[in-house]
Amino acid sequence: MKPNKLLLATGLIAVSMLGFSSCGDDDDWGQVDGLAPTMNLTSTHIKTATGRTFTISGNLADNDGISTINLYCPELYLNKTIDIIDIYGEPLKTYDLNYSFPISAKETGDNFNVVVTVTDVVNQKQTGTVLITMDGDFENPAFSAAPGSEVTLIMKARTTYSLNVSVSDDQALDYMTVQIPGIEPYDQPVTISCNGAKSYQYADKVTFPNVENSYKLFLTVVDKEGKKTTSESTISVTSQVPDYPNLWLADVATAEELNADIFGVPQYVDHALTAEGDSIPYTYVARYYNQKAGTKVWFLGQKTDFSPICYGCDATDNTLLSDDEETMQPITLTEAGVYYRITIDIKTYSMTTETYPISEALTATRVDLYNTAAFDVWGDGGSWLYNFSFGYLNSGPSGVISFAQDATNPNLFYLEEPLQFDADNNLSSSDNGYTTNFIIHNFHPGGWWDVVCWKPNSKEDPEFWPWWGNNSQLTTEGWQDWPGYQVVRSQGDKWCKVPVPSNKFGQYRLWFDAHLERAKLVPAK
Amino acid sequence: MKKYLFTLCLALFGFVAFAQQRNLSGTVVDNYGEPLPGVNVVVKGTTTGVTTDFDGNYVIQVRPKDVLVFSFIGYNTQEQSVGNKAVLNVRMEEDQQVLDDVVVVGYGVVKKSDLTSSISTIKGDEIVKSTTGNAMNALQGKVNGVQVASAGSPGAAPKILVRGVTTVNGSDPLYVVDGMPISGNINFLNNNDIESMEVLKDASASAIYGTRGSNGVILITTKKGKAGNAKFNFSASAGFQTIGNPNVAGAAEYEKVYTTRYTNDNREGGFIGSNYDTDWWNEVVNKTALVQNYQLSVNGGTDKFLYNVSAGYFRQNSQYDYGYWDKFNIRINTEYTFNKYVKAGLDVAPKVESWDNTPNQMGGAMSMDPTTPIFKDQSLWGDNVYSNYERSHNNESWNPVAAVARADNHSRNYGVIVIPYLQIQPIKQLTLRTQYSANARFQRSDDFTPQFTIDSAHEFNEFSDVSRTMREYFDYNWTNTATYIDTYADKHNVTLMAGFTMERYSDIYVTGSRENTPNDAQPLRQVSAGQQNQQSSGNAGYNSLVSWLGRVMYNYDSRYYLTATIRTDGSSRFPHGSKYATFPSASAAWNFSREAFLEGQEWLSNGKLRFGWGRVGNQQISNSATMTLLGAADYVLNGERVLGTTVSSVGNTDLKWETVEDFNVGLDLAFFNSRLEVTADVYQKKSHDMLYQRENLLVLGYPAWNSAIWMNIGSMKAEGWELSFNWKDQKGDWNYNLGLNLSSVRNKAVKFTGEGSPVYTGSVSGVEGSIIRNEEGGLISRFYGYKTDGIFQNWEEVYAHTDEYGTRIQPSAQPGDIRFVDLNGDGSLTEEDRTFIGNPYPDLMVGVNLFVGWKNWDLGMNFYGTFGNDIFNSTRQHYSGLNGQNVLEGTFDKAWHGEGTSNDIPRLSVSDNNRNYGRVSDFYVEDGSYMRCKQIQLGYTLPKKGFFKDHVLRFYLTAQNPFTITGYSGMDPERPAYDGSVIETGIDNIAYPSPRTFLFGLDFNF
Repeated sequence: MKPNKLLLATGLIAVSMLGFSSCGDDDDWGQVDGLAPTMNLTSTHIKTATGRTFTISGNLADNDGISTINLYCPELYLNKTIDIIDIYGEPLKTYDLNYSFPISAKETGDNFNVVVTVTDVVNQKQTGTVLITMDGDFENPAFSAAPGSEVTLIMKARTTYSLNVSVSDDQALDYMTVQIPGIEPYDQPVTISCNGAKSYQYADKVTFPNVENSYKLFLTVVDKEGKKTTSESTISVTSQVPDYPNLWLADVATAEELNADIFGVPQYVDHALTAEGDSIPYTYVARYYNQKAGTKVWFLGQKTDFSPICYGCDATDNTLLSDDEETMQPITLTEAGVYYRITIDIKTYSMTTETYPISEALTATRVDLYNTAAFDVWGDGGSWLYNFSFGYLNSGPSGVISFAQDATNPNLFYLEEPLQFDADNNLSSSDNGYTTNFIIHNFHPGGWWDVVCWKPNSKEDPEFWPWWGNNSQLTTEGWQDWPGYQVVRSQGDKWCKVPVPSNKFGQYRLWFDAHLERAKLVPAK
Repeated sequence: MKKYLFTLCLALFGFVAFAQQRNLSGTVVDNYGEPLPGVNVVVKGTTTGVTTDFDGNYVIQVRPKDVLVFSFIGYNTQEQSVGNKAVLNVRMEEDQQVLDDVVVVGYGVVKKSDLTSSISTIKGDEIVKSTTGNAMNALQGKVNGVQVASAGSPGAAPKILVRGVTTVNGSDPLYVVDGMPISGNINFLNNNDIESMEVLKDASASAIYGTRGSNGVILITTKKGKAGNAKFNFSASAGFQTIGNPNVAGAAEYEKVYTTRYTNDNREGGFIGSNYDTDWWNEVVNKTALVQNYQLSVNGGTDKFLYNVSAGYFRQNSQYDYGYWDKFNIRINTEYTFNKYVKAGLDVAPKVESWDNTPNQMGGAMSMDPTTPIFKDQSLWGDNVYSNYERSHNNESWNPVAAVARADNHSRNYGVIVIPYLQIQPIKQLTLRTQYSANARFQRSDDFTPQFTIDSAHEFNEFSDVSRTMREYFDYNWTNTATYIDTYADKHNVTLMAGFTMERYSDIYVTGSRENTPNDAQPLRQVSAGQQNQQSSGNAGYNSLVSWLGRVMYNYDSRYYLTATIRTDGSSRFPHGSKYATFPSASAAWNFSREAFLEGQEWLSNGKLRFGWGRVGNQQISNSATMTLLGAADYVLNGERVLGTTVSSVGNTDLKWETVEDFNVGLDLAFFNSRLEVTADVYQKKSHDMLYQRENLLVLGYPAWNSAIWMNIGSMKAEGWELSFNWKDQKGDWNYNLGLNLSSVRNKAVKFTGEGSPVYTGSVSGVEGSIIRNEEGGLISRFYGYKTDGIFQNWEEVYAHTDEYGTRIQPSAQPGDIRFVDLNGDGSLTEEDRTFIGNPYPDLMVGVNLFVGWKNWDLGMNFYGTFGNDIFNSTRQHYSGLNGQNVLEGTFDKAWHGEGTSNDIPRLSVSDNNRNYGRVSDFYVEDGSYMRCKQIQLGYTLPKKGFFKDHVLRFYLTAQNPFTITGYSGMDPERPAYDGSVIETGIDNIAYPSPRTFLFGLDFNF
């Protein structure tokens, strides 16, 4: 054999051996073309937002067979390797990538690069990058103030309705439309441009014929992404004042403020009662603690707006009620630090206002011992006394965030530090979205339940918070039911589960009046 | 009369021969120096002979060239030349070969060399080396194929499994004491009374006890009298026991862990601090507890009358301030031989057992908050001493010291076993025997729980509660057998046995209770002192068996063996038409070492191949399983509560026996003049028609509740092997013995209901769902849960734990939580991801037994271990601080607290949203393999000189369970095998472990 043939033979043997040895690598998956994989990503720029999930998708291909796909973004703590062989038992020549990743609600960064690396069985790699930015628009625009589903107009010389609509969007509003078939100029949809603002208000005074009739009001708001939200109301024109099931007392000045809370504003007002406990038609009585002199209040026929049913004080006689939106004045509560009892008759337009002192305001429990070492921890007569407090509970009695007590009114409590309500804080998630999840309860170091406790009358729409406590478990003198206090237990184990849409995520403060058994969760300002 | 005639003839013959003869006298003694009466002294080659008198003396006419032959049953025969001696004293040595080689089998005995079945024997002297309340504890590691799991608390009988499990209806073997089947365990026996125990392991041996042989049979023979002067034995041992401290955290670490659980979850904890640092374990569990054992016996007799009388006392205290168990036994075994045809015996064994129930407060001692003092402040003390204890400040564990102080549960059990028997031997080959056995027990149990209020909402008993239960048991057994033994043509050896037995068991009780005694004073702890809620109940249960049995044993020239047995049982527990069942067995053996082709060799002393097959039964079901019963039930009619009845259990009139079919192949080998013995067995046991309760078919019209019905529908299988080696030898002053036992068994459920539904069972508080899944076709009692893959070390790992589409498998996880394996890859953690994560039954069981003797010293060591078994260790919950419970020492550092700090113990969390501790997972499963030194005993026997020339005095020091080699982190790797049924075992519930015991003892024969 000539030397060059010898070299050739040796080379062939060596190549063959290399070939065998390479076949033995990588779990015996063989090389076909040795080329790097191809990557065709659906998008290299994905707009998303905090609390949202983005999805990286694309088509991957490799003739040798895809082994792994890695997605890497250290800022998002993303370092995922999809092991194709582990999942499918063999490498794939094509693979449709479709990987979703949620962004934390607390994420503060604006943009991120996710590096996608595809590796085949012969360790050839292909890399791509996807830019993730936090400017995605996912929320539908919302009506932060809009007429309720039923609106009643009382015929007057000129029957008008003050239409107030507030809309908002997390990114940018495009336009809104208003339509009231049969009423000009809204017989056909009227389009109002919002100019890309995040919030927009629209107001108009609409005149209705003095004929008893019903009209539909259609509202639509659309954002820049084309997402839209609609609202529908029925406006009934009537000549007779109706006996409303209840009214609301508003101590705020604007429709936005009426709708800014999670619950508790405006305050539910019920009918006045006879001595026998029967409702008195057209007559309503509200109890209200006045923290500061000069508080202005109104009685409303709807929960979300001042129009169309709103009662204030007659401009000339403050003992009379008025619903003339042109002339009426707010009812002004002049005395601070007292409870008001306001009785109105919407048929006779009469109004009486009286006060009673804090000392006469009954409560279910001894609020005068609040924040003192009066809590009987074991309920055994006081072998272990602990600081008595109660407040916001969303886990267990040993985790209660205790209220601060108002310096003037011992019945009034509030959270000093506002609470953050968002996807990661204080809210429960379900298929229907996020809701609050709490009750008002005493703090107990050992975690005992239902010693001092209030729960809402309605899970999703709490208007008042009846006493749920169980003082009889406690034996020290401080823990008897207040003389004359009538214990009313709400039915069922009701935790406050008010829906909180994402556009309302933010900081709120909880207020609670143990005498009125009213609570409100209002924006912290 | 014949004997006297024979003596007269001898005397006449003596006159004739007088001129050439002279008198020779002497004394025959045993190896203890005690005179032996009844020894035959015969001039060799003649019929001239005498027997020794009561003092062992004899006088015989001899000539100088004569040789005297001294013989006595149980002793080696000796020959002595007369010569010119005028006095010839002889010391007889016990024939160990004869004693050791006889093995008790059902309704008879056979020579060990003639065995065709798998039977293991343990002698009484091996049993008494262990100071234990139950002789079965002494079998651990010494009898191959017998799994012994002990509980350390006083009076707790060990759990015994003989060659695995083939039924869910009780796993205990059948105990037969001196021919009497015993219901229950053998706690009542004085270990010193036991002559030997035989374990019948395969069906060819146990089928003769057909009805209850499916779990194996343990035959116990008590000591009988031996002819000779009275021999006394006094033995005593006393010592103390200790148990390990699990080492829980002190107050400082507890507080750190408690508060960190909250801060890690961004929650406020509200820890109640104090200056106390109570070591609850040491307050509840005493460092030592006393164990003591005393025994005095006397044994002796004449050629007519034999007796063995003993008295024994054993007491074991619990490791708490409350709880003990003691027993006082007397046994009188007698036998009188009327003549060569008739003898009779009477065994009487009275006993008294007493015990205070041992509290179960070890878990409480581990959980209790260490920042809590034992007692409330003295200013808060009241008249009720049980209310003066403090409640746990930071959790809801009950004060364990208070619980022990309140304990008042006392029982006393009186009993007597009486066994008279009569044996007639009309001809040499035939023995007729009738035996009546009665076992009567009477038990009183008193319970009292005082009124107390440690915490009015959480830890209190509103009214004291007092109850008394009186229980009577009476069992009898009448056994009649005829045994014919003969040899034909010197080589055809035949044994025939036929018998008839009848047995009856009864259990009668009445119990009464009331609440609210005027106070807790001892005199008022009576039912009549209770003022409210009077309750009473009582019932009687009976079951009986009647049986016919037979056995044929044949061997040709001690080379080819064949044994066949048959037993027909009728049980009251089964309905007409199914009452009777027949259980046959057959076994064969070939002693190839006696074949011609192995003649002349010296290395093989014995070689035998055994084959066995048999069917045995099980009837461990309720006495009333065939009956549909009515029970009290209230109805609501027109809004009014009306008392009434409804079906409380559904009977099955088609029930029949549960049977187990058993195959066994064994090999016995002995080498080098029997210095090395090897035994190997392989076997398979499979049950058929296993009795199992399944839901009743509603079409039968019975209501859905209480409608489980017994049916013959299940089947289980056990397959295993055993291999044992034993080497013994003697070199000069040294003698030693080394034994090694290896065995393995796999227990399978072939089917339960046959519908394929798995049987879930076993639970631990704080862990959701069942721990154990038994499925048809699989091994039994396996743990079933999630597999884990370490701890998430950072957010990247948490976020990467997804499916290929990014679906989070554990949405609530965060760094420090356990990563569970999504087995089916569907992107979520569901019940479908559970799998088998452990098997509590061992792959291998090992026993090692060592003995070394040097001059007067002796040293014995026994080891027992299991390998390949898993334990579900609930102790690991004490890394979580669940519900504010105290944690194991070092938890704060061991729990994950940052990247790389732990890949085993998850982060501290009060919410445990990831359910690190709430899921059944292999986080809890540990390898339960262990090798435990069961006993070390060092003994010294005083030299045989002076007074002790004829008396034996031995002192010894014993350590039981002194050390255990294991990787298991719980308190005791042995205890979990004790707890639970056979399909629900292996869960460590923090129960009383096997204690270490240190004893000093003496043994005095005089």
